[in-house]
Amino acid sequence: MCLAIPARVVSIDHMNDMATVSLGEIEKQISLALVSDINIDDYVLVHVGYALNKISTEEAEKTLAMFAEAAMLGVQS
Amino acid sequence: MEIEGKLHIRLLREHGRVVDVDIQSSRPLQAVKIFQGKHIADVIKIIPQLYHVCGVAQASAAMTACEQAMLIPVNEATQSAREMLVWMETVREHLWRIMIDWAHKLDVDKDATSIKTLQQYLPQLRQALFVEGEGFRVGARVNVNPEAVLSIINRLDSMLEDTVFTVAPAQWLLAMCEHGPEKWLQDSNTLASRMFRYCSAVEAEDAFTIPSCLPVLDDAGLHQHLTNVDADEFIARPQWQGKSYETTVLCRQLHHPVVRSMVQTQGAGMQARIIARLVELAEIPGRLRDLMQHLCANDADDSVAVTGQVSGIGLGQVEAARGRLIHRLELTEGRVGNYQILAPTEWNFHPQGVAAQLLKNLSSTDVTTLKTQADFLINVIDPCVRYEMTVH
Repeated sequence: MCLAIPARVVSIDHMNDMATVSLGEIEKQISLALVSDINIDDYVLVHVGYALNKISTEEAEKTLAMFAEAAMLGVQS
Repeated sequence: MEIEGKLHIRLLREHGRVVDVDIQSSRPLQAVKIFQGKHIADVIKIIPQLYHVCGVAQASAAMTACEQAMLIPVNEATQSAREMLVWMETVREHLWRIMIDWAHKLDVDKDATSIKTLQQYLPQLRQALFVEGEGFRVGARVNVNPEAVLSIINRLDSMLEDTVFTVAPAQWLLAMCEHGPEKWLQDSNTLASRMFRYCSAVEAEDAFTIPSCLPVLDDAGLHQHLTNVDADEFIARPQWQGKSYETTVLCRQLHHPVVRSMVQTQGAGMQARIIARLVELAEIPGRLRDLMQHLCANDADDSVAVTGQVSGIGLGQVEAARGRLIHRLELTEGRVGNYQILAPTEWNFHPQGVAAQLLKNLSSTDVTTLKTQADFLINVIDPCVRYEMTVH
């Protein structure tokens, strides 16, 4: 089961269809090949280097809260 | 982003040949603990958001477990419509991997237009099958729009022809049955045929392996494994009756004469796995049309009881794109007491599983070449697993 993490878009490289996204203090390069109409400050679900979907800020915050809860439970094996 | 977790794969070489493979996992298998105490309706909503990659298969397994636990009857029309969504997700997963991963590996430009068009089919199919597009909630109601469904299937057929097969998928299947893959490989220069040619070139000649496919798992046996004191160990490193098994697209397609013949002659290596994925892809439009006919022939009110024996406990098994996905839950007054997910990755990347076995067949004196071969191999077993690999 593969988790998909919501991340906020902080910059976009339109030429290469790439973006820099942030999750907390971590920043990472991802591909936008699978999604359309992405703007700075949008939230996208990220998996293995690709943005899978754009999601609303509200949805993203809910999902991030669940990941935070999971992290607090120490779920990583 | 470490919450995603990953596999840590270590290849040990002697004289250029891989002699041992060590696979450790930091995948967050216990993330489901956050469901404890939550209302089942909320959990059903959360699951496809958390596990977005195979979100439909996850939602389907969750719904089956939920409906079983709550002894909610599900009619055949709903089951058929849900199955159609799972197959459409499987198409999307297979095609993503071909159009993105294979294009990348073969240094070919990605077809961004087709990739984005493909993204639309699943939400369109949801809307064409269910009231408000909601197929995975208690009381989901089928409201099929046959014209819209057939239009989506026809567009999918065209996309498969354009991006993978060069002919209609059904025609490709027929040609494969009549002539085998040789003629297609001769005539075609698509990503799929190029990937196949690459793999046949790098595959070790002495890599003949027979697949050990996960058998049907009976509910009673699964309940027993998942309630034992070592249930977490079973979820992390599953074996059945003391044996490691694989659950992959190859296993799903082993009944097909083209796939079976390739396994018999070439073994269950990269080539057979690529052909299995292509055969599955080519078959899906036909499957969707059959399910559509079945759906239209069955009255939506024709309810059937699900097979759950004990109220409050449910089990759902679904064939996701990457293999069999199992959800088990325990409910008390509508709230989750325990939730477990057994994912295909844990079978396939078991330390003695299919990935470890096939990686042991690799050999190259050049570390970069060896890593490239290993990447290809992992991609054909499970294209979306996150991993890091080291060679020693």
